[in-house]
Amino acid sequence: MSQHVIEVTHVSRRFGSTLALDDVRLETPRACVHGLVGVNGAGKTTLIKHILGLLKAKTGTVRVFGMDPVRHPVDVLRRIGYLSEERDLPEWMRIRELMWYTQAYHPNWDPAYADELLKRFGLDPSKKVKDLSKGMRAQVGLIAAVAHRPDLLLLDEPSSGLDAVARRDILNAIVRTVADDERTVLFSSHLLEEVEQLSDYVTMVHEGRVVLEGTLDEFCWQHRRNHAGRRPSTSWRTVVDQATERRACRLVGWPAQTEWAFCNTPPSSVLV
Amino acid sequence: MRRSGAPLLLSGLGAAVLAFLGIFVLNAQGDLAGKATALWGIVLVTSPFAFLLIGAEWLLGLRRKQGAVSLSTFDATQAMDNGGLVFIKLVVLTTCVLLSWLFMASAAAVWTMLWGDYHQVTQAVWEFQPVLAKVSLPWWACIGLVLIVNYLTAAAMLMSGGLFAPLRPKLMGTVFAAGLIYFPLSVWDAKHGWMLKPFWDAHAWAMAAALAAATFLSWRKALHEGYLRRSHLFTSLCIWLAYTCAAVALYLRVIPTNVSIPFSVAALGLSSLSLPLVAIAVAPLVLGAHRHR
Repeated sequence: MSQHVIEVTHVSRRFGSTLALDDVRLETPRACVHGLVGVNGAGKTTLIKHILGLLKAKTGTVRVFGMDPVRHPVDVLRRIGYLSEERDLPEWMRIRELMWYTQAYHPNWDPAYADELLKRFGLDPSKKVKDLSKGMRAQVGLIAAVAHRPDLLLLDEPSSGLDAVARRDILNAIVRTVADDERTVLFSSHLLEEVEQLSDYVTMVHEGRVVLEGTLDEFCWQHRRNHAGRRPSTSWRTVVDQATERRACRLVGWPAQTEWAFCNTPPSSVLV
Repeated sequence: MRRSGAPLLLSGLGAAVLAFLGIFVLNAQGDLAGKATALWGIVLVTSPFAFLLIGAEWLLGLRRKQGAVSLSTFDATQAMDNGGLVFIKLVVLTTCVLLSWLFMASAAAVWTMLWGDYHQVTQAVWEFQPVLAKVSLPWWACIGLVLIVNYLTAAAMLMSGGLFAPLRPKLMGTVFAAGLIYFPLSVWDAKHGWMLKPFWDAHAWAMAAALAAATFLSWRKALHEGYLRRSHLFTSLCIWLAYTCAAVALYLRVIPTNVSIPFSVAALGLSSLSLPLVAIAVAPLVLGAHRHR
């Protein structure tokens, strides 16, 4: 059995004239928090949709738990908790009903955990989804995604549109899920701060390509090397050409070839 | 059920009330002298199809996102296979249509009792009763099976059409336009002694061949994609076999033996027996095309 929960190999995707993914390769090890970082439109959501089976790989392969999510949607989706960027929840449902509905698909549903999270977020179960704010929707979506203690938690821009308090609560919830159960999380974000706080492993996507990937420690190590007056090395598994490095640096807003790391100098800047 | 069912049922109730009020107003103006019963008959026969047409579109719940029509992400990410999703939508659809039709039937009954020619209706029922009594229970079972399977097939095909149209709008438009041309052509030909008989024969053969090919290809693809569960296959095939036997038996009973039917029409009729099979395979395939784009 593969040690990777997610294996994406050589996946490309084009929407009309736009190349959304270009020969992407991604591997997410078990029991790790994997951050997918990049600017809006970089291809993060497209990649996540391939992992969920919402998009069929035209080239390359996608394997989740060793299975093709398009051919085995039940086996794969049952083990995934997903929070979409759109917060696409049925408007007509009450929170309580949404929990019941989601529970029906997941035998491992933990009602005590769901109740605990509802209390923690201060959500009224009798409220209708359509009456919730964007932040509250994210919280409800998150509870629905984590309460069945999924083997893989997929979060697409989990903190998008949230205030600082809600963001902190969501992050805490994610960390707790992972820490308690040693499960895997893949989340996308354009907030470096968030990636820095959460990730064990980081992949940077830009213009549909994976431009950087490695553990957070590697990022830190890189940072230390930079401070020692050395150029950033390209000892990552993915070889990054200098042009890409410069582009990525510009994106991050740091001087080229000097600051890669997210550690020690937590940048509050947003990659937009 | 609540998401799509409640609005559908409310619409069905609204349609029944509208029909009631419409016929009431027309009757009050004297335009319908003696025709109200017939009008209710037409409404009762056509309304299930109208409900089906509207309900199928409603239940699909397609959304337009970034210029593309697709299923909602919430629906698409539930741990359920495409066959299961289609099945649930079909159950909700048929339940809603049946209940909406019952609303309409109740409105018709109330109208007949209060303002209609109640005696005429009861007399008609009494006249029909001996005819209906002659039909034995096995034949009723055959009629019921054929009606139910045809109705479910129509519902599944409508849903498939609704899902397919956003994927291939030009193709659907062309087929629809072709259908519009064929209707006046057939009417014209009927009035001119079926001058175009070879033309229609060729079409019947072509349609029969197309249906057979569609059955084969759709099943092959659905099986290849894993959309048809093996556990459901046996049940589906058994029901289809029973339906085919019932349909053929009914045909042999109803159509007199001395009536000769052209080979092309017979071939078309035979191949149309495979429509339920096509519906079983096509519905999850088209849903899958939306879910896994």
